[in-house]
Amino acid sequence: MMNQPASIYSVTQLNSLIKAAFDHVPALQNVCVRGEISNYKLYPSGHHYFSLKDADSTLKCVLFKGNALALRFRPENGLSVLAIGRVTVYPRDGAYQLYCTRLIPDGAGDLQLAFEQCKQRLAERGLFSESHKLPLPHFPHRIGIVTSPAGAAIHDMLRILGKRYPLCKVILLPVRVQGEAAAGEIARAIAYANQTNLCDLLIVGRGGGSIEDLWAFNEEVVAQAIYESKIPVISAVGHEPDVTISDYVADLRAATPSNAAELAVPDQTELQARLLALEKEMAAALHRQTSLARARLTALNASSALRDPMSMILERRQSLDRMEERLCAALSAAVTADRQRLTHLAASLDAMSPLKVLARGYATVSDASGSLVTRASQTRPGMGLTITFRDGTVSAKTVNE
Amino acid sequence: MPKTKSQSFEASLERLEQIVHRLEDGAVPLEEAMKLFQEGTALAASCGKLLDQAELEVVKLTRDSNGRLEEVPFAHEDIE
Repeated sequence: MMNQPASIYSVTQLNSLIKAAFDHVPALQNVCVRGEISNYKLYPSGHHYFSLKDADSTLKCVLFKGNALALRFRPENGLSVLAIGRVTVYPRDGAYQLYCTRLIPDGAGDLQLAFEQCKQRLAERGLFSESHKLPLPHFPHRIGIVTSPAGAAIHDMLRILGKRYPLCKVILLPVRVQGEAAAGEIARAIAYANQTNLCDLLIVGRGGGSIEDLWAFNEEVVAQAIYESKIPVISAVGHEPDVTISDYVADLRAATPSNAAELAVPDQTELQARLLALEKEMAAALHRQTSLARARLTALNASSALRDPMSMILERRQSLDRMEERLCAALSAAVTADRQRLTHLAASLDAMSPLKVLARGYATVSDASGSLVTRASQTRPGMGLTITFRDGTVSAKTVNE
Repeated sequence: MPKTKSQSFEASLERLEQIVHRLEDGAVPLEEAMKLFQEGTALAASCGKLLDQAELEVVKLTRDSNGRLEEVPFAHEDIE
């Protein structure tokens, strides 16, 4: 006996129905699956396709390009991972698959979760704020290094610091960098450096290791100490791909301890080159100034005043001569004019001379005192008179009235 | 804290840059310019010498018998 189906669906309709059924299960919207990667394929589009399998089953998975950017490892077949995402149906194939949002190597699961939670919490509290970050000194004088005195990291850093900028002083604050006590020691060392104003730059870090080894640098107490540090901090933990909470809080993140040493100080090769360049600029500037001065001097030397000092005197003398000449000319002109005027006046005077009248036959009469007698009434009988003719005088005496 | 080599280097370099700027400005009388040039040359030489002769000083903070922190030399691999 067979039950009759209620209705007939198209394939598309049925797949849509199944998809809707999947999408209504809350547990499928955010799942974490542990399994081994197989059939891994990276498409040119940047999307990753693979299956997760365990001893008995497989699950189709896809990790889209956008989510794949956050991958900190290269997925490969056989790798055990935790895949986080949502399960739904791909209607075209009628197959359900896991759409991964994150893929984490298995084993790091708990710590990874703790890391993400801590990062989220501290970000909300503003510990990663760009505006809180301090600028690094260009020429650190004293560098405090908070790390293990035993690891390769400290020796890498010292080698690079010594090679690049041996002028600074390095103060090692030895701490344990892994284990239970590490975070507290690191935080106290950072606080101590601040309290004693020990240095003007801090490098906090360690060499590479597993996520567990690096864990101290994910602890909140270290993050807080870095955040509160008035001394700029460079975080230098592990290898390039290792990112810890201290990297986010620090004023600068270095990929490795060696990289931290490079970022911390200037390179003396560049400094020497700069010194040389400054010297050259200085010499060039001075040369410009001396050649300017020399040019001015040459111009002055070429001037007639210095080249032929007598010329000035000769010129003056010449103009003096000319002046004298003009003076003489003016003088003689004036004399000539006066002389002409004199001649003229003399002629006029001559014309009016009484002697001319005498020449015409007249005579003048004067008394004994020499006063002219021009009227008869001025005379008395018997009075002596002098008569002046053209050619001389005669004495006379009146005889009648 | 005692003045480090780095501090005198930085101060010398700053002074040297100041001298270069003043000389490039060209407003300094020639006689003073000569003096500045001499000072600058000496500074450049002393800066170079500081770099050439410097060896990284490394100390480690440790607790003495009274529990106080003190600086002790820290042996590190010689460079080159």
